Amino acid sequence: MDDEHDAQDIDADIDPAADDTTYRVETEFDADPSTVWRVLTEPKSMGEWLGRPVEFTLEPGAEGTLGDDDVDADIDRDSDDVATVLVVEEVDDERRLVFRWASATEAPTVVELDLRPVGGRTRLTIVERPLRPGHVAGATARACVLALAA
Amino acid sequence: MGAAASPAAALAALADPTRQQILELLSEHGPQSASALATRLPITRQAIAKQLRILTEAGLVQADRDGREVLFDLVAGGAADAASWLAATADRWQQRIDRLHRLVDG
Repeated sequence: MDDEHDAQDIDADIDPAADDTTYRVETEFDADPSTVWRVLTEPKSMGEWLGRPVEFTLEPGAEGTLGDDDVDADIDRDSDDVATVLVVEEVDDERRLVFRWASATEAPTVVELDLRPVGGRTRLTIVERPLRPGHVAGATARACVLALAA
Repeated sequence: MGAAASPAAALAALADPTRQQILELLSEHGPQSASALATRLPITRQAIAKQLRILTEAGLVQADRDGREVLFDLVAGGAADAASWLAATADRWQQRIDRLHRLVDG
């Protein structure tokens, strides 16, 4: 509630060594990993931080969806309200979540969320990168994400 | 033409508001001459030509001759896509991280 409370550490950079386009960002929370994990992965709070309603099961191979923009119309202005398909790749409780997602208008990408305890706090590292070089759009993107999850 | 595009060169080329505007205009209105771009931007044709050269060298833009005119266009699937994807992705994650902090710290 208190805005002054623990200024956020957001440390974003683009990995210069990465051959493919990779986005990477880190942030720290004044909470333990299990608290952060719960907020990250419970469907209700997941929908809140993603800014879109989520259907999501915390299980490798599970297929989920992100609904239309709900919370903030600015978030996903490119998506044209098209639902995003999400497939869970890896679940390591309170440590690591990996999923792929794509929509009819956006090429598939992989998202890796890693949690690490650091002196009573929790560091979250987020990596997002295209599933493959080049652009795959439309139905192909969806097919691609689903096929790769199979 | 068609200098090999490296993400680093593309990002460096993008780190300029005028060049970003040029890319946006090319994306919205399609291939255009430097003179046509000059009518849409508050800088001289010469200044635009200079920025177009930087963008071309970075592999973001290509020049094609159409009769007497040289038209500039985005390089399809080029580093401009990668760089704009990175910018959009960064923007979205910043918003998501803000909301995560409100949920966890709040």
